[in-house]
Amino acid sequence: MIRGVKKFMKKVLLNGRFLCPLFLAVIWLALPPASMGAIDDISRIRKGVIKITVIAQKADYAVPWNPGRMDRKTGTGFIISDNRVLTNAHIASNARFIAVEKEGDARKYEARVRFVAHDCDLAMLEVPDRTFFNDTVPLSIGGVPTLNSVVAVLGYPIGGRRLSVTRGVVSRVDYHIYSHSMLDQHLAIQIDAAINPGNSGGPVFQGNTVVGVAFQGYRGDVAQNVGFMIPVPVINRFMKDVEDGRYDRYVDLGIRYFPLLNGAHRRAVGLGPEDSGVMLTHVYSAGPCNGILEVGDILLAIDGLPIFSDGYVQMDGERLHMAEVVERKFKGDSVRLTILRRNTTRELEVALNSPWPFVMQTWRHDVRPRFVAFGGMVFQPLSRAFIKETNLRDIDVLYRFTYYLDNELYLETPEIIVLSKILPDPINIYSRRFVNSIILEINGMKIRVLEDVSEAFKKPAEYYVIRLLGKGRPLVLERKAVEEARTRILRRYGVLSEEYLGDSFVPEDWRKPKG
Amino acid sequence: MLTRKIPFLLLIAICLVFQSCSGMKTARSAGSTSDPLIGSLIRVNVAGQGYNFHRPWNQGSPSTHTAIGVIVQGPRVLLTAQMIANHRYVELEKLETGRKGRAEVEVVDYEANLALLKAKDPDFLTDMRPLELTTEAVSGDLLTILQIKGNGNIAPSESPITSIELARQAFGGFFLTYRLNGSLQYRYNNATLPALKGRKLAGLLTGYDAKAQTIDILSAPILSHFLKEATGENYRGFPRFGVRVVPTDDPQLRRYEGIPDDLEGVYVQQVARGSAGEKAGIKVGDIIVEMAGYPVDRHGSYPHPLYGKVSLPHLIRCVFFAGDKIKVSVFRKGKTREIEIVPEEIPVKDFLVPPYVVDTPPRYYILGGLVLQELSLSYLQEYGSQWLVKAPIGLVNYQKNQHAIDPGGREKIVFLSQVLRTSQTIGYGSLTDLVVTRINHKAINKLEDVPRALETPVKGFHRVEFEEHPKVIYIDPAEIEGINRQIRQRYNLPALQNIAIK
Repeated sequence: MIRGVKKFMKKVLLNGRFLCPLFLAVIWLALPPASMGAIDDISRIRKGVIKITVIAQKADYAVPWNPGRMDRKTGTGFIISDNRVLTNAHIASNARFIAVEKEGDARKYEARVRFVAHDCDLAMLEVPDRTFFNDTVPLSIGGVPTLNSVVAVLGYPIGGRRLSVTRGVVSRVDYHIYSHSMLDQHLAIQIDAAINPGNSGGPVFQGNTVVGVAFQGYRGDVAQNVGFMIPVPVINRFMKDVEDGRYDRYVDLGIRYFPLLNGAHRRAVGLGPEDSGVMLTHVYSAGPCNGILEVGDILLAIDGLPIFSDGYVQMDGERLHMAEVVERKFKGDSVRLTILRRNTTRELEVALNSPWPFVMQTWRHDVRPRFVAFGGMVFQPLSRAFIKETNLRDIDVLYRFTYYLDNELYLETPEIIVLSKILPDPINIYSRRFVNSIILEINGMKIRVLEDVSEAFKKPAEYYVIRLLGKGRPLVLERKAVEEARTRILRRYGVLSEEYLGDSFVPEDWRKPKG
Repeated sequence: MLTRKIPFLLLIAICLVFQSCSGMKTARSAGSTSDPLIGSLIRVNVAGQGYNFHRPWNQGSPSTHTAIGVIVQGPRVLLTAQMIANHRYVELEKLETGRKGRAEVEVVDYEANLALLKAKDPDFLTDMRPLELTTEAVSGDLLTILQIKGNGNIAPSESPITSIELARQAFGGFFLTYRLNGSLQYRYNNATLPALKGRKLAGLLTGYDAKAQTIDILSAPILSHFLKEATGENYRGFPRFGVRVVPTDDPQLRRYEGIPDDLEGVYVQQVARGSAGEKAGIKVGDIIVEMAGYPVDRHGSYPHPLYGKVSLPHLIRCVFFAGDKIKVSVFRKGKTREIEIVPEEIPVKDFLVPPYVVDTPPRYYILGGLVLQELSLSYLQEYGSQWLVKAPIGLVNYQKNQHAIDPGGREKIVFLSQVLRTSQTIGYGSLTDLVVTRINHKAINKLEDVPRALETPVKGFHRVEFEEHPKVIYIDPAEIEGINRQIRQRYNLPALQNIAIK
């Protein structure tokens, strides 16, 4: 249910480079320390903080067969028990070579990604050369710090090459979008210690324990002294999830709800003025509540915890969003919902899952762009990265991206396939006007996923008749002409492969029509 | 050496002749009382005030501008419609005497960007000389564009027509335009300038790019169609077939559809529901090979006697009138057949999402703080020049695809644009741009349906349903009076609705 708000905070960023105003650093140095209690013994814990350098290869959605651009990223990580290293997923994503360094050692050691969680921006690395861990200190993970308590951030941000320490207080504990996927929201703790590019993945301390992983902030021209760390509940969930050797993604209720704050609304649905209940506005078919909850149901409690009219619950002595109850669950777990429907209260049990259609709207990492090239035409499925990187502005395409989930478009078309580009050749000169159109059918076969496109073009036929959305005239390709032009087009445009069908987010059983 | 031999008297005579010659030139170039064109032109002073579609109870800032109108048969004044859009007061001003008189808009067609004015005083224009129209201008011809100096004299500029093609007008219509290369004098900057070929009216200026030195003139054939319609009983505008066509130049398409090599024509890609084309029996996939005796080529043009190849839409919309019977030859399944189409007038106000709302305030109805409006392109354009990206995509989709979707009984798209915050609308304040489907289980097909639906609350509440999240909210009828009072007092709104309730 927490899949993101409509208007994102567009300025959230930390992967990019921005200049932190230097005067901020000066202010921090000038202030006398308010309390020495942030870190007890830095000489010990600094031996658990490491510097990470990653050469990553970014997927190229504009020319999908291209190997992709190489980028160098630096960040911070820290050592925990059993020779494991924790850092952010956005540091480890798309990595082709990872080097880790520790203080007092000139050598760079190669590291590998063991587990990565793109939906909560965490990654676990391993270092094959165990001598790396000589003279290091594994750090222990603590709890959730209280508001206004002091914390310190250790890491390797811009501004120098050696370990840096910045200090601040816990400013806020709340739900926030994790910009790495741009869709998932989890608990995030806001602190005013300076978090800058390079700090990502690094530990935030209180006493001698880690209370968070620094991961994102606001640009200096948008807000100052606003940095975020991934709190311990999210870290612990990640660690527990990977115990079985695989990261299984967050589970979700797969619903949308509306807070019942309006007095008339509450009276109309039969609730008193007391502060409880939210109204269900959508149940995603691919989610776990399909067939169990209905639009119009009033959610009163989750796992016995009363839900307030703004969607929050009282949990662990804190007022937290009700999603936090689900956030702490794993694949296969259930949740108990108390609802009011047609003036009757009932208790329902829901076995949670990770609704697969949500993935379409996230930034995906560690995947290659899916595509099929045929007759000089390139077909690609809609995704957030595809739209942003090709700068697509077509209204029909943007509409279907935006309403993919709420209009349940994924039921009929799990993948929305776009004719993204045409490599000019005599066989396709007259098809230029069809670029950015959505494919409906090829030779009468309804296109549900990209595999259907590949399959349709492999079936022998004299003509390939492609029906496109909003175009009464079909796009016709003559098989003879396509075969004759094939090598010529591949060579002329340096097309390295004619299709890539891996990395699909659509489960096997959804690729063919149901029933 | 020779000069010494010229007699002194002869020299004086020569000087006198030169003097009188230059004197005559000066008199002609002043173009004053001796230029008869002055009697065919008139200043039109317009005071206008637009509206704000995001705050539909607000009027825009008043503005004034001046156009040069042309006297046509009637006598009437012809000028571009964009000049009188949202007018509040229109005044005619004679060039020579400066005498002013009130004017009324008799006929206006915003799609074609043309308007016809009538003087309030029936005798005001009787001494003026109506200009004749000429539709004979072709590429290469020189057109004279007339500007008026401050003192009322004419400043003409001549420029050649470089091409003749369909071009976009101010309110979105595509009509035959003469494209000229040339420059105009900035110091006499007026809008709507007449363009003449010889002494006859060839068109009205609709666009000028000083940097590129290009001038756009709305052509005489369009003016002529407009004037012919304007003198009829009811103005029916430029008719529609409801048929969209695309070229058949793709050899692979031709082979697949079995179109013979030598057959020219265009492919029917869409037939609008209930349109003239549908009534005539045109189907998607038909190839239109001939229309009104003109052959249609595979690129979508027909041979115009004056201009050579012209896009088919011109023939469909600007040569014929609503109600005319037009013979069309159509190739379907290997055979050619004759079909008769009767193009129709489809007034813009009947569109599901009108392309413009002009001369009337944006309609709205405030229900318990919920501001309900009818979707139009004007509302979307209020988001600025980048509205295609900035306006809500769901509403943009309705505007773009209105002819393809099934309206399901809707005449307009009624939507909640915003909520005025009061103590009783807490919790609803962040709702914006939501399409309303039903109120109290009654379908809302236009704004008038709203007050009607309010007559029957459901279990004591008004149940407002939306197409998307939050799907349904409730208003307490007993609280509406209090909400309305707060809105009037705090937000100072003049009225809470402006629709006529039948």
